[in-house]
Amino acid sequence: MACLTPFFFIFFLSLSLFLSPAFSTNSEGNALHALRSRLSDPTNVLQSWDPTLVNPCTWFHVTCDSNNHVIRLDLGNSNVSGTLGPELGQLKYLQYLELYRNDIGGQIPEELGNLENLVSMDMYDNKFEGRIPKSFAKLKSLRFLRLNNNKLTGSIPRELTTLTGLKVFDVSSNDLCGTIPVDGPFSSFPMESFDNNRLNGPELKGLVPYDFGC
Amino acid sequence: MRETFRAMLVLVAILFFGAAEFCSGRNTSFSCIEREREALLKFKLCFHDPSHMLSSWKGHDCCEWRGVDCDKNSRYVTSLQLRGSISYQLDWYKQPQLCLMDDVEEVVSSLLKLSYLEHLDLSNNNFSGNLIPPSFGLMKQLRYLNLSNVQFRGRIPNELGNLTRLRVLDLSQYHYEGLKVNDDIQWISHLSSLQRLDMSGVNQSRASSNLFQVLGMLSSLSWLSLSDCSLKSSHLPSHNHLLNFTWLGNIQHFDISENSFHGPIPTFLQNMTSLTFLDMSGVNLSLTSSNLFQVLGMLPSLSWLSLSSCSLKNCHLPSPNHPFNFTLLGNIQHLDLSNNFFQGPIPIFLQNMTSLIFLYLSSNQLNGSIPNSMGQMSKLESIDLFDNQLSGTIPNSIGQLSKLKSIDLFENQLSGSIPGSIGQLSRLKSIDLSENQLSGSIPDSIGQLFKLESIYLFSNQLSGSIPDSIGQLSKLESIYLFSNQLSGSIPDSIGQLSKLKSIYLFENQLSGSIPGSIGQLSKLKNIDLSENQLSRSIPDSIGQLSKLENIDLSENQLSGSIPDSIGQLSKLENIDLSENQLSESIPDSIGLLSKLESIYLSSNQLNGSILDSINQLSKLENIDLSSNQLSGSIPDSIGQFSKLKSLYLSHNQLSGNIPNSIGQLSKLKSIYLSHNQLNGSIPNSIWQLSKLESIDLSSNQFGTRFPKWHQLQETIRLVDLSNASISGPLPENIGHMMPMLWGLYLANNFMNGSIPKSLCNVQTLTALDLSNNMLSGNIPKSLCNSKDLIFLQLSNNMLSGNIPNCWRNDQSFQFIDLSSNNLSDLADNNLTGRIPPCFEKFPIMVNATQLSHDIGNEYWDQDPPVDVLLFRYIEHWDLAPLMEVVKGRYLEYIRITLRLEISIDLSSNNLIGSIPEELIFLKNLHNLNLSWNHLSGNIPEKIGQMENLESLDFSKNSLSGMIPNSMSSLTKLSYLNLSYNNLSGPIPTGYQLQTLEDPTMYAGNPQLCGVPLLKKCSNDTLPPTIANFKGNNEGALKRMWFYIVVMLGFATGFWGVVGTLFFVKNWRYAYFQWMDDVQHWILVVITSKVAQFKKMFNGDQDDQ
Repeated sequence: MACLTPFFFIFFLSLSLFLSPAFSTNSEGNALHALRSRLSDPTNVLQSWDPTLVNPCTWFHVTCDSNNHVIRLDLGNSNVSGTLGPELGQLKYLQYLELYRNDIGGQIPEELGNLENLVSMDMYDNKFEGRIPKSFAKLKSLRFLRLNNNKLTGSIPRELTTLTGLKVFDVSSNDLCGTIPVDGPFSSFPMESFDNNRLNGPELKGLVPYDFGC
Repeated sequence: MRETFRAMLVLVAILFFGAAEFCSGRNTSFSCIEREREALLKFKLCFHDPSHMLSSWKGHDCCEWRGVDCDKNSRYVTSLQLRGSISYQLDWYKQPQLCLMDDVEEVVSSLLKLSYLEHLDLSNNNFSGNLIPPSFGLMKQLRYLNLSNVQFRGRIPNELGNLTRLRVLDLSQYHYEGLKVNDDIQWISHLSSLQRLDMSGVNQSRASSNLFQVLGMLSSLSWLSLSDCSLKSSHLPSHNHLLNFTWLGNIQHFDISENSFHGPIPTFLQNMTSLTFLDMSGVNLSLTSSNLFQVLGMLPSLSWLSLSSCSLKNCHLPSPNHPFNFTLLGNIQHLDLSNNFFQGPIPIFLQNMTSLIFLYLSSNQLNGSIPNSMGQMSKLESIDLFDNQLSGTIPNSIGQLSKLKSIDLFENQLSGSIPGSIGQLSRLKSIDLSENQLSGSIPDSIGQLFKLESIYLFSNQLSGSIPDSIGQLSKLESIYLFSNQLSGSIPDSIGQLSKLKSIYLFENQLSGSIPGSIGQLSKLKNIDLSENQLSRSIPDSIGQLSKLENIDLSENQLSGSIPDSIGQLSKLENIDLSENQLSESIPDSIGLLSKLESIYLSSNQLNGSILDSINQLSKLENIDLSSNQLSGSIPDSIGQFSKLKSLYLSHNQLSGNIPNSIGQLSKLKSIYLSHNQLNGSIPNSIWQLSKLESIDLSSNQFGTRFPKWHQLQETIRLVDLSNASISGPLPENIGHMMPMLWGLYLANNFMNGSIPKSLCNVQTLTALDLSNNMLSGNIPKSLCNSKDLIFLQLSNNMLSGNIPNCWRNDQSFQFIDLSSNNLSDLADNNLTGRIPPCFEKFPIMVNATQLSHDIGNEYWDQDPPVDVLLFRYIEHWDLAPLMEVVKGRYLEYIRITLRLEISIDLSSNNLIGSIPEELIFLKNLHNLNLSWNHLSGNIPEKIGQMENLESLDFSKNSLSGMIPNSMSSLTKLSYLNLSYNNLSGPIPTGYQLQTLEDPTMYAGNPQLCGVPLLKKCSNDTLPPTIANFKGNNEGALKRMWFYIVVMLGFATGFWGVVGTLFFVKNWRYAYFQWMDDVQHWILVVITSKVAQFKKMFNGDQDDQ
């Protein structure tokens, strides 16, 4: 028996390693299904999201890569409402999060900062409230971040200036306050991206705190 | 004296001889009246007697015959008790009963010869729909007449009214309609001695409304059953009638159930003060006011009450607020309130009914939990609460019901674990807690229920192992524990259950081996252990189960060989060992199972050849040996299975020809021989199978031409000959010969010629796969006539000409692939006028693992099983390693899941002309691939209306002009390829297009510019983006106002100060004077401070 113990250990270890990709795609399916349950979907856009299937790759508006990991979520202009939850952060391989032109409200979950492969986050034209999560600074692959036309408040987190790949940043028509960052990619964003807020012009370093007027 | 002596002698002699004669007469000639004996023999001859009820009717003494009773002294027959027995089972003809063969008048005429007959019971025999002969009325001496369930029909003759001495008359007909009374029912009133009248099931709808008036004349009546007599409310006596109600006071047993009365509870019930038994089940009492129980409470002797199916609601129950004396209900022992509309918790008043022995509350809408106080109803023997919405746990106090024999709580929402106190119910015979949400383990104490005969705990969430103590339940006949989460092994003790007939443990997580002790279950008929994790080999002892009829061990991990002893199961009808890891060959002994109807051994590792011994199994209907490693050829003797309906031998290594004898299987519906190494020709005899529905010979190596049709195949639904090395053209008449076809699959063969026009006649065609052949010519124009055509796969052929009009918008999904042909014209398609209806259907999601199980079974009776047809289609994709381009990558259709969507693939043809504008009406389209053609002209301007498009490929064409702006509103698009065309101008931006930023999708269009290409657009070609529109206008206006305000502010501020100084001289002087002073002061202060600092600095240095 004693000599069998290491054998079993190795067996289970290899089994768990073998099964882990399966579990991970399943967790992505669970995350998406959790999203579905949070959203109200009057036009049945999410009807094909059947949680009993092995992975979500056959669902409409979900795109996977060749390892069956979810890389795109295309729900733009889909007439859905509700809120987002922390489980979205489990979509580790997600590159495109397209939720624009819907009626989604509530806070943007902090956990979205875990989507380290995210290239594009389009959540414009919704009803999001609260602050822009500081955790977005972890989205090192992010190139497009459009949060315009929501009800976001607070200041623009200074941590976002570290996102060197960011090409488009649009927070216009929100209720943001403070000043506009000037470092890193922010040096090249047009002023239109910041219109219609309570922002106090470009940051004057050392003279005025960045959350001046908040 | 002498005289007297002589006289005495004579007297003694007379006495002696008389006595002697009397005694001898009793033993021999006096035994039975000969005339009556002959009459009885004549009676006997009138019947067919399959169960030998009258087998003792021979010999001299008819009084000794079974069912015959004679008067002790006169030896006349006084009683005939010839009751047949009925248990309502399917095989009615096997019932022990008499069947009338002769004229019914003959029966009566022979009975009339029994002139002292008082008691006649012919119940439960079969008089096969004869009328009751009026001559029954001549048997005036009868006191007891029982004709119940004898299947008489027609009118009851008035002559029965002559039987004035009758005390008991039973004409009840259960399960047999046809006996009725007509409107004249006065004859009943002549039966003045009648005490007991049962007319249940006799149609009295035509009886006049004075029925109860007539009955009222029967002054001795105490037992009356009028159940299911089609009585209406108008038949009931009402107080308006001039009626004598006193007779009702004598009635003890009153049954008016199952009649179509409606309205309030009949008031005359109050007069029935002697009532002990009242059955009103099935009578609609919904209009009764809340005094129902008040009325019932006035019946002091009532002990048996059924108000089942009376449409009662909560308002009819006595409420504690009412001034109601509950003690009145204290005598009730049997209470049936099942199948009503009671809601809320179990009524409290039941706790006061301390005499209750039987309580039925099933099929209501009761919720809440079972009260703990239930344990105080100590006399309860039977409790039915099933089919309610009861929740919570089963109270521990249930163990106090020490007299309980039966408890039925199934179909509720009970949770928690089964209380261990249940072991105290020492008299329990039957327990049914199935279809609840019970969890936890089965209590060990269950082993104390020594009288238990059946245990039903299925469809719960019970876990843990089956207690070992179950082996102590020596009377157990049925175990139903399936669909739980039971784990561990099956206890060895189960072999002690010597009376067990059925055991169902499927859908659990049982592991370990099947205990060898199972062989001791000598009465076992059914065993189902499927869908567990049982391992190791099937015990040899299984051969001892001599009564076994059905065995299902499928979907386990059983290994080893199938035991040879299985051949001893001489009563076996069905065996299912599929989806295990059984190996070696099928034992020869299986040929001994002469009653076998179905054998399922699929998905194992069985090898060897298909045995000849199997041919002895003449009753076989289903053979499934698919997915094994069987080799050799299909035996020629297979033609002997005259009852065979399905034959599955696919996924094996069978070789050789298909035997010609297969044409003898006249009942065959399905034949699946795919994935073998069969070769040679396909026997033409296969088309003699007139009942054939599906035939799958795919993936073999026949190397033959397509078999010729000789006969109309009206039943055939599925023909699959893909991957089978078939050559030559398709028969021209194929569509005429198979007019009901659903799916035709001939992919991956060497077929040439054109697509036969006759296929257009098959109105039911749903799936057509002719891909990967060498078909040429045009696609017949009307090929897509079938309104159900959903899959059309003609890719990789040499088809030319026009593309038929096959896409439709009324389908929830559709798959058309015509790629890799020489098709040239798309414009001919009449896409106009197809305004899409609203789409309510959505793509069907198919779980293929489940499907593979269903394939080819009873599926073929109803509508085309689209999912099955598609799965088959995908399956071929799977084995020929072809893949479908979806979303720009080769998405391999594996067997786990698949998605169905509307997809049109016309890629790799010679399509010319422009893309028709009407294409945009296909709003439900998900994938559109027109790549690798010669299409020219513009991309349709309104392409943005195809709002469900996920994948769009127009690459490798000659499209020109600008990319329409509307393309940015395809918000579901996740793959786009427009490369290698002649498109020009700026790439539209905004919405979805800004998320598709891989420049290669626009490559090979040198005149395109803008994001994501590196080439910038010149200003005049800048696309008007959606974001720019409002932003620019608003921003400019704002900025203008900003500058105006700044200028105004500056002007005011500047001139307010400078202007004053400029115009007023005094102020100017004062101002400059003040400035000088300040300047001086600052200078002085700075100098002094600097000096101070220097001093301090130097001082610090000194310190160091």
